[in-house]
Amino acid sequence: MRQHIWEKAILFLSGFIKESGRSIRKRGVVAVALLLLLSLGCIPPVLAWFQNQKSLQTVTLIRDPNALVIGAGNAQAIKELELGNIDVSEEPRYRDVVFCVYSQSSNPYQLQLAHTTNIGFQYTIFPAQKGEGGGSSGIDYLNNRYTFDSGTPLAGGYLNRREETGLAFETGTYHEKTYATDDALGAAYINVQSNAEPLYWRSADSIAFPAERNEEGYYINYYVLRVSWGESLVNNKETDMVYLMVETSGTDGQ
Amino acid sequence: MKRKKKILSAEEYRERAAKHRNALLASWRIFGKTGVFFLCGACVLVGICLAWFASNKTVSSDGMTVQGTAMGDFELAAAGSLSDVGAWDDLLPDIMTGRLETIGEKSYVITESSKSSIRWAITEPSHMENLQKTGIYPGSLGEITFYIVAKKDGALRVTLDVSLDGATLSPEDSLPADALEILKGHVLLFADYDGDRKAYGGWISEDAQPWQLNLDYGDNMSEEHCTAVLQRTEEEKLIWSADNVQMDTAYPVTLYWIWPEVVGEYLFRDTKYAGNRPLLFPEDAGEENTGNPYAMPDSLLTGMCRADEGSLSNRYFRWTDRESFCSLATVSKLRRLREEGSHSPDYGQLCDYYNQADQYLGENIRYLKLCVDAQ
Repeated sequence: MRQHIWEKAILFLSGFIKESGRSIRKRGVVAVALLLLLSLGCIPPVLAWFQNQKSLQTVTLIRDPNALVIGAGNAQAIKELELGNIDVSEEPRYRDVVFCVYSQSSNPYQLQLAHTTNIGFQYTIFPAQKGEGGGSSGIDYLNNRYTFDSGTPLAGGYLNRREETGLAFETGTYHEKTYATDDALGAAYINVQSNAEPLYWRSADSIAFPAERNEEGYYINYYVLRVSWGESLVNNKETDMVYLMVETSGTDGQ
Repeated sequence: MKRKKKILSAEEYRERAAKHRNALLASWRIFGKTGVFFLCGACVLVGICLAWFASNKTVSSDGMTVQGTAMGDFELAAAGSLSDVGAWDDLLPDIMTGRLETIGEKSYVITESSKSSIRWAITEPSHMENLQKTGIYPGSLGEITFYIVAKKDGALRVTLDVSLDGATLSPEDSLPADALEILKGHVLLFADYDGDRKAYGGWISEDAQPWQLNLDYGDNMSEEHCTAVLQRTEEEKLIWSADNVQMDTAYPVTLYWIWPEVVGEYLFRDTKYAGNRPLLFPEDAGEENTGNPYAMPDSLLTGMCRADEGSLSNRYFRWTDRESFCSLATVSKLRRLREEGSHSPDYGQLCDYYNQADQYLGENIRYLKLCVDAQ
């Protein structure tokens, strides 16, 4: 007569329990086994608990920052912006060039201009519009027509210009660090000549792009940079360095 | 050698069978006393398990639903419709679309017992630049809102886990651990934004310190006035709790996300140094500012200066020469930078370390996943 497997199991279990009643060691084993069984049994409810948690998820792309670019005319290469060969005997006594600031992002920005003061030019920036309607003055530049109002320059001001001289303030920590002064000699400049210290101009506020992109997909603003000179200026061999810079200021949305 | 089988007589067979029967009966008796106990225990456990899973899968039509302590008390939702999906939601393969529910006059995409993990409805005011295929980059910021929908009246307490993680196009692509660390330090989540002073508050991060924000739902909710508290506890948990919620009412929680463009946004106290950009920590830490959501946590500065042996980055910066980084990034120097602003000679170099970290992040992580878990 063959015993069934379950009969054998019951025999073993009952024998084991019966035996364990007599041995403290085996009682311990039974207790541990029971505990194990219980803790194994706890796993599914715990997992179920975690399954029961609520969750919202979304995913987005990480991409390169948007470049904020200064271009000549209508987003043309900056090398097209030609400021050389100004003949100060010509009339009218200014030269207008058109540049633009463009980006794929609508983040506002600040426009900066820095220049040395060797020649004695004045620099003025006017907001402009491509095509007609931007104001009473117009200019054809790099195959496009731009209009602007020559009475309303872009709001902004020099950060380090002394009104009386039209040159940079020859004081201050950074002036001293950069150009070296000698108080004993009363010299405000040791390393460079005073006209070589640039003037820094910055637009007053953050400038916003228009709400709509242009046909190339860029947000774009146009400007006219007017380089003008007074009656007394004559052609000379001096050179000035002019920097146009643009910097994001904060971000859109908030 | 095989043992020869003994041939038994009929009497001996009967005796043996009786013995066997008695032994079996005795075993059954013992089993009846103790084994039943085992079986009952096992049955109870199986029952409990089934009940738990059932609570997750069935609606209470048959009265079998077993609810957990807080589990059935709320659902998570986002305002919008089922078609308001994010531009890259395909990268969330295991995720379900929630159920559409109208609460008040607004429609929500909401979790339910059978859909506990759902995709966030993305709409114009609430997104992570994933409404169109715009994407985020250094300098971008915005807000994204989710709702806790009460499914009972009275007090409700929800533990939130808000996390950012990298995501890849295919599951087998791995993400470098140091890039994921930089992600945590460069794409930041806040629970509050003060538009008047362009400042963020209630930082949600491992480097944040405890804070508490009071949320007033008086204007949005129709009938009873409800206030809630969102707090980061000493145990580093984010907890939303309200004393008097109303059933089937949606309580919004807005997350303000920002990828700071420059490190000055973390450090400076004055907007004039940050170039008109927002400030992340406009107030100083200190005893009088304990729990202030706008205070700069000390742990941020120590986290910024951390440079483990052999490492090339921490959560905020990445360097090529660890020694020069360590000599520049000290808590005292960072504190001084906070005072001196962008004029400090150290600032330029620190910006460089920050930019290197941004670069490394951009090169190694293509997608970013935002997840809000609630229990």
